[in-house]
Amino acid sequence: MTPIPIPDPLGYPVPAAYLQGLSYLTLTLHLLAMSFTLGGLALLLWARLRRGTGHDASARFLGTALPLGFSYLVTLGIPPLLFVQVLYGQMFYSSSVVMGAFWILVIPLLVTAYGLLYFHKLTRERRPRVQGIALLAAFAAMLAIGFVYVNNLTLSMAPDRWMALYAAHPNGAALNLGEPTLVPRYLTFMLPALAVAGLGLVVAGCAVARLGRREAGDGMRRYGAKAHAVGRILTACAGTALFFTLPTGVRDLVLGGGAPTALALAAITLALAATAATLIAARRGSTRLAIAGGAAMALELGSLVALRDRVRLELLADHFRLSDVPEREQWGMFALFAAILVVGLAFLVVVTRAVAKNLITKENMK
Amino acid sequence: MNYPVWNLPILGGGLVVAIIAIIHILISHLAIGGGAFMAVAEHWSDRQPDGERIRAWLHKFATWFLVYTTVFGAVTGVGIWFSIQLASPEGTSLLIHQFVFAWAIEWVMFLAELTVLYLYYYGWKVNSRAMQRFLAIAYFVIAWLSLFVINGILTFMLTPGAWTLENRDLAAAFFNPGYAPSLVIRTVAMFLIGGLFGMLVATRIADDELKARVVRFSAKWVIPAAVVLPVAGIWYWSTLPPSAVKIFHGGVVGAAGSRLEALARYFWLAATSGALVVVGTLFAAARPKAVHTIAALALLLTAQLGVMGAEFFREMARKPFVVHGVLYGNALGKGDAADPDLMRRPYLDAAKWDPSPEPLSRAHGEWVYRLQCASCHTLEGYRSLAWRTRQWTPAFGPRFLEKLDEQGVMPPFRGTLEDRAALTSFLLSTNGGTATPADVLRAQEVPK
Repeated sequence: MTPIPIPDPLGYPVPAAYLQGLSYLTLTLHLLAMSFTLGGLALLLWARLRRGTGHDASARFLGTALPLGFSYLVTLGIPPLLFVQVLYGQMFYSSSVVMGAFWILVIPLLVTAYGLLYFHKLTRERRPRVQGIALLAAFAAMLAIGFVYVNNLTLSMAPDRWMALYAAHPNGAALNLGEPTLVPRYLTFMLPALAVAGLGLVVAGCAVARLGRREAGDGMRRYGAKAHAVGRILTACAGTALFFTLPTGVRDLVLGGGAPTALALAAITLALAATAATLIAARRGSTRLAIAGGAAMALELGSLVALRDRVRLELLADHFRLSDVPEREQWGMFALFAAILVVGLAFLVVVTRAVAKNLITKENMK
Repeated sequence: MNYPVWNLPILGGGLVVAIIAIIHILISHLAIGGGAFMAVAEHWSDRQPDGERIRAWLHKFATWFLVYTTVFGAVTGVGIWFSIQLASPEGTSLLIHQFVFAWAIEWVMFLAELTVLYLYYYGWKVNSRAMQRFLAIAYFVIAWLSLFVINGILTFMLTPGAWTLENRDLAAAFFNPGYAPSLVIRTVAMFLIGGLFGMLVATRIADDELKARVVRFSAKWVIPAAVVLPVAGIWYWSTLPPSAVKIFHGGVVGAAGSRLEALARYFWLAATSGALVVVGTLFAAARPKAVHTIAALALLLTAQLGVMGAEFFREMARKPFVVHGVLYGNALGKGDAADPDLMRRPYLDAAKWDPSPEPLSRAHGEWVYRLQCASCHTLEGYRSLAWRTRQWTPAFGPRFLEKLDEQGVMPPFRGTLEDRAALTSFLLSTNGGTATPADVLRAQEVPK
């Protein structure tokens, strides 16, 4: 018998669509930060091997930016984790416990990767010899975290596997290795990192060139554009493989018209637009076009996140529907959260602009 | 019943939560108190003739503060979520569903404090003095507001007050009886921790005269805690559930016949560590030039011991509940426990997460252990059941289990006499016992 926990009787605090919307928005932002950091780390490692003005400038920029990227990937990872627990807690908790020994390893791996990025930033001048090993270890830790995440999230959508894994490994030393989509799904999540980080380098390269360091900026743009193109090609291969390993019902859902098909088409169109904008921006040195490419890529990721949720509901259809969960509304708290979010973001925009005005200057770029 | 139970050998899920939480709590308090420390130090440096030298030290403080609080603080904060969902999915689900928007508000604070900290640190060389002072103050205020929010959820678990599953009164849950004293205690404790961290960084200053001034400046941050904590502690004490006070004063008889006095031990650990920190800081203030890095580190580690005592106290005072009076530590609802019919049904018939073992087999007892005991106990490690039941006999085990909740720190046993016999047989086997569940059942027939 498949053990399906009953949803929490406290129910949803607002209609599920609101929680889904918040989940999509914050998960998209988290994936952008994660991709920038992971891809940036790969590009930093590669740049250290290649050298040259463009690579050196890229390594310097990434060495400073990656701890910040990591910080925001952790911070922006909190709300999707919160909302997935509210929406699908009974699935997510079950799969987490079934693979608990691996799931908890995410924490020391996060500390390791994050700490090593700061170690690199603070000691790269003084201790150049150990940097390669430190960065490689951080990269390996991030790849391992991604693998554990993909295992858990695919397992949360496969209740039929839970009991056998739990009975065999009550200590949680289990992974969802029997999942046919595991490897392509993992690659589909990891490989866009190159494209996102490449785009980030293009944006940074445009800014650096405009502030007077033309050769360095041009090199960063070229490097970023290449990484973006390679990332896109590899992701397209992984995404195609993922599509063909999905169960027939899910493939039919994606191709069958309606919202899932619209989301898939939107993602493909936005991906093409983002790539075109990135490559043209890199050639012309247009910061605005590169930022437009970033916006298209964010929307593309958002479409894929929404599509992924539809796939999840399809895979869980035999065991769970959102309508199974009662609604016990907390509109007052929701309004308070929304108000604090708006005020908080407005405050951050104002102070960030005030500081950035002095921080990003020709003098500081020297 | 609703979720699988993580059977982590030796450590157990509970100790994993505790280890992560104890590390996190010191750092999270530093993350707030250190903000106040930076804000005041900014003003202090402006009033000193050698303000630039003080700010050079403050920059070192900010570097360590940023790395330590963002790497270890932020990640261990996420780690608490990871670990509590593994150790107590039912309890986590209850908290998440009740407080999702409180947590979301805390996240906004977290995002804002992090960004402001980066603007303060990375803008060090280019920001005006007024901007630096503003950012330091803004950071502290936002960080303290995150405490204002999370404190409601933390105290709810021990003193849920007028909140019940039926009324789900959010205001009553959030501003529960323990809220205000806990907020005061945490606020002064974080000033103390901020000061100790400042002192630690100050010990690396080469110039003796400057070091002495900065150590004295840092030592003053312990004063609010030294004055307020005893009073706020009494206030907090007055809000504790009567069961916790009773256990503190009398202890309870444990499964092995000895007295459980862990609550008192943790209280004294916290109180003694706090007193030691105050005394040590007084010494530091009296001889500031002599304060060595190791001595400052020892003070910080003593504060960490105090945090450990306080957090274990909070957790033990809640026993046997995750949410006091609502949900037991092993995911049994208080409402379900009050239903005799439900409680006397065969345990594994209702449990979802077992492979339907043969009744009265060894596996029967093992799965009852896994699903009903292992959320708090391990067999051979933390809260070892093998150790606690080493003196059990086949006749004693089921009788003890029948009255399990009467000792005050355990939930009632759910299941039949056969379930108790199977569990007893399994636990006896961990000490080399050979009595089968059937033997244990037969032992119940012997006149008492």
